[in-house]
Amino acid sequence: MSEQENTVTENSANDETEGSKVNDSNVESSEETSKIANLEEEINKLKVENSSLKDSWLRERAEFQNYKRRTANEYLTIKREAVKSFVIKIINPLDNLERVGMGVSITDELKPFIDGINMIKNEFYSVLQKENIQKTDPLNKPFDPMSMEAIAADESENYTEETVIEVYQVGYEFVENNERITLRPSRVKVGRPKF
Amino acid sequence: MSKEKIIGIDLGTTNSCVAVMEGGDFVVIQNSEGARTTPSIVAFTQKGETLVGQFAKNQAITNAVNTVRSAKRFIGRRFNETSDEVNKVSYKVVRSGNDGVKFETSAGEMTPQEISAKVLQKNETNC
Repeated sequence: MSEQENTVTENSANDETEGSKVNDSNVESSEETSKIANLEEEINKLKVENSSLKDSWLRERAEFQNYKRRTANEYLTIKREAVKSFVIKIINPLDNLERVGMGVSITDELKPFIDGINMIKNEFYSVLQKENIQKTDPLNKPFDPMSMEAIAADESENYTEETVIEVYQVGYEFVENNERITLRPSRVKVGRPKF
Repeated sequence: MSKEKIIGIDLGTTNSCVAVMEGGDFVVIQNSEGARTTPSIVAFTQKGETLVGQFAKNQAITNAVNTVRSAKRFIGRRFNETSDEVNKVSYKVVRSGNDGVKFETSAGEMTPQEISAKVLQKNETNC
């Protein structure tokens, strides 16, 4: 083989090597492109998933905050309701103690007995007072449907506004942080102005 | 963010009740007076106040003409179909346009739906 032929063969071999290199790099770049496309697709998918998870987390957090607030309110309500249901049970015997001595003439013989009953009654009231429970005294006060229940009404020109003229059953209220919560509304007779 | 909630409402003729779904369970909502049911009563006082529920019930005897109860009985009915009910209630029921029903109160004429809406509104504020 001549020198010239050798050079040609070398050149063609070099061309083949370069050609295969170009092909390899083309394959690599297309692989990389598809890899990048896959990764981008995955990133997009994860972004969507992330935003959905973030949204659901925010919703859960908001719901939890609401739950916390409601639980705190419920705790106060439950406490108040527990006191209320207990006090309502205690109030009826107290009402009956109030009726002792009503409608009878108090003789010297009966007086110590009545005094004893009054002492027990006052002890009951002091216990209730310690728990911030107070008796209401609505007589001659303006009628307030938030703390009183009208059982009867009397219409007359003597009244300028709705006024309590008789108390059938006293009410009780629970005083907490200057807030008055009616435990039992007073049952009253209301005097109404005549229109 | 939306504050969507699932609530169930029992709008009764005498009492109403509201429950809300919480974590897959329903919870009956207590009203501001701590009761699980609210009387379906709305009253309009001389002072211009609107009372709903137990407070409206407490003053019913002194203000019977402006205390609307059992409004649900009138919903979806024509005036000429309600003659029995009209005679049983303490408030004034009048005929409105298209033979509908309205209640005449000191706060103006109210439809049964408006009265029921006030009951629902009171329950809704507790949710």
